[in-house]
Amino acid sequence: MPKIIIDAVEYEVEAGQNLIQAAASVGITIPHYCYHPGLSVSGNCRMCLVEVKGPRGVMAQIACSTPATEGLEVMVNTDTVKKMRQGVMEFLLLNHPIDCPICDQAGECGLQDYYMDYGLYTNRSTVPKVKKNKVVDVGPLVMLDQERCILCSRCVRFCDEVTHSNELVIAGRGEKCRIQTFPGKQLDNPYSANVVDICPVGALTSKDFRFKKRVWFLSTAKSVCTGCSKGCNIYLDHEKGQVYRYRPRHNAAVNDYWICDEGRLSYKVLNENCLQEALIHGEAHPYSTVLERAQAAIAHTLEKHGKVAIGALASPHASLEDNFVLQDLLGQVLGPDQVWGPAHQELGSSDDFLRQADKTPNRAGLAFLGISTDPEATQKQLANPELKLLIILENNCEEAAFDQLLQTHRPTLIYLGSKQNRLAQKADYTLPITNHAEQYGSYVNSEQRLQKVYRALLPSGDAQPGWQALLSLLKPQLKATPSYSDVEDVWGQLREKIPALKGLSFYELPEDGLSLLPTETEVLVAEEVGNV
Amino acid sequence: MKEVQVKKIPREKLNFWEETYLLPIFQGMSLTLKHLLKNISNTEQMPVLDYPLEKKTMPPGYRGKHRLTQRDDGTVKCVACMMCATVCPALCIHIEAAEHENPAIEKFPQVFDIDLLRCVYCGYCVEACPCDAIRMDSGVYTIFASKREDFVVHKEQLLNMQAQYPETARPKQGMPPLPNP
Repeated sequence: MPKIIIDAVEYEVEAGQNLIQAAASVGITIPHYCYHPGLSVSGNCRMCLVEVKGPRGVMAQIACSTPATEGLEVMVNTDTVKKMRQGVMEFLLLNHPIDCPICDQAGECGLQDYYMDYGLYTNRSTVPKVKKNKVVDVGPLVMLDQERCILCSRCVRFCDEVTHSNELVIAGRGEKCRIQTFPGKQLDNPYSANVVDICPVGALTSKDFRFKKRVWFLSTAKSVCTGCSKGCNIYLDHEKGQVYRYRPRHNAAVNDYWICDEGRLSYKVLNENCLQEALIHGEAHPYSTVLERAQAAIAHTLEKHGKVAIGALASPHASLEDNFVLQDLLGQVLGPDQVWGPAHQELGSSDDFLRQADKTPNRAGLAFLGISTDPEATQKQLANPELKLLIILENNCEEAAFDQLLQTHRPTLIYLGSKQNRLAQKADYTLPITNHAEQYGSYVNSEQRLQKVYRALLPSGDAQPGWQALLSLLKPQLKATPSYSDVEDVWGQLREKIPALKGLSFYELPEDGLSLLPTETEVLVAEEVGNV
Repeated sequence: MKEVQVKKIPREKLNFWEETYLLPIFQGMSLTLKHLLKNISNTEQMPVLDYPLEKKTMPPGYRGKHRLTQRDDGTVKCVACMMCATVCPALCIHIEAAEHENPAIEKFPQVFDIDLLRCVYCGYCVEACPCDAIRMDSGVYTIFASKREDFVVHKEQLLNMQAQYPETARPKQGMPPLPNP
């Protein structure tokens, strides 16, 4: 581990980092535009100029391409450095239109931030600003404003290095330099909207978010994208009960700095069709009435047809906690074999980067709990005419299998869901539960990583967390009623019943998730034990 | 219980003449009478307005009902940057932005509502506006409606308001220029 000296203080930093990373790791921020940790170093914005002591005296160098080596002495806050930054800012803003009032980046703009720190505050330029194109439509999700661009080339490098689709280019020379797509090309790769996040200024803005909200009104919660089984880490930006956008959150083990466009736009389902009231045969009734009737239906079926007549479908859309409580409580009432996995797969487009074919966020979570995820086995169970009552947790149910089931023999359906969908209308008793933005919960992604989501919104209408609704539904049948009042209580049971989660609690789960795969040491130990 | 030391001052005994209060009453009434006689004999000088028929002109800088300014072609000058809505302490401004067909303008407010019942007439919105799009120089201080909903004024109503004072009468607003470092 090399030791470097920043502003006369010695720090020990990790080897192989550049100065920006090394300084950031000890809590010192070096301003930069073109450097992005997920991309190659280009070194063209010159904002990260610092003074470095070398054999020929103190020299100005850009921090992004200076490796942090043993004994390096750096000054990041001297008057010279500040003056250099001021000069760079002056050049960057020379042709900037300063149209912050209509710019969506305002509030999270690198130019605004550093201008407050290092701006010159007066204009020394005597020539008119160079005009370039505004409102350039470069792709289905991205809007380009060439005037605002500072030519940091982050977007160009993203298309070259991450998506390898090479749509963007810097064209022209000198002051006519501008970002544009190659002739006849559109910025339409499945990860295109990431350029909006990495653009440090307002040159590339999201068409979807365009003019919807000024960013300073938004509150942010850490969450996980539920668009597919990859479980990309996100920030969920919301205001007054409405979700406005997803932004990728760095997680080196899952999605790095990126998120796919499909997942980015999947926030929209949170704003529409929320199930707010309890329903009986599709008609709204008071929550307590529906709950009592559903409880009575369960009690009646148990009495008349016995335990085998009741089944439950766990859901790859619901959180680990909801599925665990379903499995645990129904296991106590009926025995272990009456909780089945989903009856169908939900497949979509995939690639070798982030997008997964399985479009459910928690299928691995079901497998982790020991619930079968084989659709055929579940369909066989559903076709059994002895089935008289079926409890379904969060299900999109656009498949014909359910219709067949409903036509041949019609079990009583109790549905717990967050969406106003076909099943909510068809089920005999429907109870509203919260979606992933309205609850604390955890999901297991396709790489066996347990990741938690924080609650961002208040539940809409009468909705309760799934585990709470299940508990009140099954309460009359339970001998000893567990007292869950929050997600941590559910975790109390989880760590008791599941050995892999022993000693963990929800709040102690790391922000970037916890891999459930055995560590290298555990694998070695297992091999050793096997050999012996 | 601890005894509190109290000094008792005996009330001054009034005699019969003083108890009638006749002198102070006549003293007070004489002032009123003086004003009455003065106003009756010289009605033009009376400092009272015949209010609903006659209205007072407010001094320049008076913060009256808001208005939205227009470009030369009559379109709204506001670009929906939400600075006013952000700074408003009463949260009375509601703006919905939309895409303008002219790329040089780019953004304009589709909806611009001010809830006059919530407004505290602090004038922060005028100060915050980077485009001089909202002003409170209409001089209108009579704000009335028969329904709550009618107190929410919309973009068209705000655009149709007229300035009461000439441009030169506007007091200087906003921050002083920053010192040259």
